[in-house]
Amino acid sequence: MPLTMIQRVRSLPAPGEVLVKKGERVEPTQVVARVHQTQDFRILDVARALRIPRSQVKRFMVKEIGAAVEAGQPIAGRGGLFRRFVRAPAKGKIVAVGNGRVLLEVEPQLIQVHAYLKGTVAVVALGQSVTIESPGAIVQGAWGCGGEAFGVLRVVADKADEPLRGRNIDVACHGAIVVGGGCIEASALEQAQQLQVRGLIAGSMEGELCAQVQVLPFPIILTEGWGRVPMAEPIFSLLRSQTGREASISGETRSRFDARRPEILVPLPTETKPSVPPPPGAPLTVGSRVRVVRPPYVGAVGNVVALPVQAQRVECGARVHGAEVNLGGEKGTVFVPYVNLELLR
Amino acid sequence: MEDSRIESILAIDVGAVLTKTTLIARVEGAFRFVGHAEAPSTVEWPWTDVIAGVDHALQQLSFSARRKLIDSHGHLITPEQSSGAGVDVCVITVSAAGPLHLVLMGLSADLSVASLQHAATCTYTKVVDVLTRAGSVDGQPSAHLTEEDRVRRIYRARPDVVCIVGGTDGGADMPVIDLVESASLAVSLIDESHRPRILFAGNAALRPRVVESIGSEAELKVADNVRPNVDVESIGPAQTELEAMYQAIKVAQLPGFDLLRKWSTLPTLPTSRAIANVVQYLSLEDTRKGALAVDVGGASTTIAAARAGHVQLHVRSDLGTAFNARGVLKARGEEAIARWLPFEPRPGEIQTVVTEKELYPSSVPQDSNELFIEQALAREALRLAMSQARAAWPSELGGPYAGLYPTPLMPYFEPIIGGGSVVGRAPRPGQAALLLLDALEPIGVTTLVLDSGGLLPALGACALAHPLATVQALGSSGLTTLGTVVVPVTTGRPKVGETILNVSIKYKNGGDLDVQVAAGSLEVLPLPLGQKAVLELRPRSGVDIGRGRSRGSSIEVQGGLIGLMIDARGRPLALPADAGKRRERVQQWLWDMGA
Repeated sequence: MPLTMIQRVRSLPAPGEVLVKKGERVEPTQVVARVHQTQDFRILDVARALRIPRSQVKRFMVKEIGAAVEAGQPIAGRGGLFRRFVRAPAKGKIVAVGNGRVLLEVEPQLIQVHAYLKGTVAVVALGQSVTIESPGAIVQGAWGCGGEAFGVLRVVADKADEPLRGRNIDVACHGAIVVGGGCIEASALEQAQQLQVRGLIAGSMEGELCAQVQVLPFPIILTEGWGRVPMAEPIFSLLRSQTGREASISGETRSRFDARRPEILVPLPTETKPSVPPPPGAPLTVGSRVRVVRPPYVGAVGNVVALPVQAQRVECGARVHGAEVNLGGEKGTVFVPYVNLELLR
Repeated sequence: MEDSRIESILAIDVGAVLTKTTLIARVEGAFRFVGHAEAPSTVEWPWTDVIAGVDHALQQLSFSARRKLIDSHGHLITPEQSSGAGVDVCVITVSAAGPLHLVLMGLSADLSVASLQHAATCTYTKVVDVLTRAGSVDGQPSAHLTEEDRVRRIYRARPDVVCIVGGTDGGADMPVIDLVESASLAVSLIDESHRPRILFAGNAALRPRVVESIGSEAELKVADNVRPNVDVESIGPAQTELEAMYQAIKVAQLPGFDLLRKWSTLPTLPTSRAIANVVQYLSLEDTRKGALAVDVGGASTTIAAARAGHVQLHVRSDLGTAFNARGVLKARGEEAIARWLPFEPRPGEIQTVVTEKELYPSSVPQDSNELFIEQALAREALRLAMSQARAAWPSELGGPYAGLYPTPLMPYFEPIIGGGSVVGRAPRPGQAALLLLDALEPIGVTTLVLDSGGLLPALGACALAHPLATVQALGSSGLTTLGTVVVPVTTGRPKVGETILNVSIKYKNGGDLDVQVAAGSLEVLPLPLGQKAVLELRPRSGVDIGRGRSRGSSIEVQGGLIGLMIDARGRPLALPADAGKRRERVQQWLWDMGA
């Protein structure tokens, strides 16, 4: 979508602290919420260590439930001739005492949530989440990996089908989000790593590189998917028009249970406030702009020219319902099953 | 509603990829399959509302069955109106929810925990950790775990349910109570909104102490001991509790399900259980035969087998052909998938199809190579699920072949029903039949049936509302007979090309056919749908066609979409080691089956 109101909810994994107020301007790397989360704990058998009955442990505690303790600090002990102490094995907090044992929560880890999107805080759900919004362009990818990143978009291809090779990535790409056209080649991955790019965006990539890209220190986004598929022309044109602008990208891809698709967000200055994207469910009609998601036309974009009532046979022999789509150029008008089409908005 | 007053039943199956709706109604005094429609499920983003998918499917069903089902407020019309609109009963089955995450705890990995693992496969579950005191888990000996280790592992696993077993009834007590106390402590550390439930299915004598130990820390469910005696396994009650927890914890969380549930006249069922209901019924028709249904869904694979009413249900929530296609690839590797392909895949081609199916689960292959890769994934999902299911089957399911052959063969089942979109919607029936033969390796003389519309869950769920409806609708349902298959087996490997079976076919409408079946061959003989024939089977010495070695047989068989199949490729099925020869062989089998 070239211009819409982008909204992204930034949530804490557990109730914590929100650090921004509604209406506040935020930068992508700004921490907007944080929480201390338990990562580990220790069970200390105090009754055994002090050689006392399990039922009497509370009497021998020198720290109470909820007390913070330093490593080595006594938490329970007995005086007299056989003086003994039980010391905290690590810095933490006493969370429970029972059945002769003490449960020590080891110093929790600080988890910080960044704004991710440059924009304005639209909603604050106290202790839970923050919604950031900004007018801008959104491109949804087909597949991605790596986390989130923020940087300046740098388009290094002249055409949507130009492969992204190592030689396309030069020193000017250092610290930038690099946009190629067609298929990412192995040489581009090495060069991108050496030049410490913030992210790579291209149309596609061969499946054999899958394992290699999973361990890269920056996100990768494929707008069309796997194979050797050029970037869809409208996406390439949109990204090229935004070169030099700051963008936020996320390579996170999940198909089920809180499904996520990789995305490229480009905040844009605008006089008028654009509308929030409409909910899904718009019917496919003649004239709809669509993208094909499976071979042999994967990645091709075109317009629906007819919606045949009868199911039709496709190359593999299956009879399916679908649409006739004009993909332009040599491909012309082809029949594509409905389920292999993505409606573009 | 009384059974006699029920005129129509709507069955809704909310799957991970597709939502299917089926209408069964009384026509001229008997229940008939009236219509079926489906639409992509809308559980996930950007819809995140199950109702949208149900609504799309019902709109199509209304159109095809010419019956108004939804009123102007978007609610299901019930009961059936005098105008014919609406339905009397609505039943719902669900497999769309994520699997129930389990931590299993017990004393012995080889006894009580093994039984618990059997119980856990009855529904959509994922075992995230196994904590035992002795034995081995997945071939690895159990490490000694301190209480702190146990608590830490439960805390980090963040399961939905902690299942605890151990001790025969009246047997071990303190070690079991130790496990219970560890579980109690671990769950108490987890935030209340995500706190796991605890299922205790161990030593029954310890129940009062378990209740006391857990106290108010977590919701506790108690089931009968999965191992009341060392020699006795009793997993039914634990299975019932796990299925109830799947409904209560996972299904209830589906977005929009609250509203959908209000339409249902009866409690919702897991889809796998509904499939098991049908298989159970079929196995009671002839108690000497078993019945088998397999369903390779987008996110899970279900194997339901029954003999004389005793059902064995096995669900793999990590194997599927869409969301969990990667699970199949991970478990079996690219080579295992590629061995079923009649062509050499390009580097990364299998990965590409797997990713496409993950990202666009309802998409379909347009070109043949992608189709064959999807079918190969389904073969491997079924083979893996079946081998695990068979390891847990009791001996009574073994049938006449149990213990007869050095390599354990598949027990005898008739019919064998195959479902799931990749199997059910294979463009050619020969592809579906070959897929089932390759994956299941059936034996003897059996019938292959295709559930192309995914109707089994609907039929199984209808049994709850009106058992007669299931019985009558089965005959008129969209289940398609692929044909009869004869699989001769031998103890050794006869020479390829050597005659091992003589078959004479006498068609009921006239005409005879005599065929000599060669070892290693796959034959299809004409016997169209609706026709009958009498088969005279005369096996060579040492060859078994399900009647005992060297024993011939005369049987009446029904026709099917493919006809009469004779699979003499041997059991277990062996593929040539050389990749080129293997591809030629796979292509030949496809041609043989008209696929």
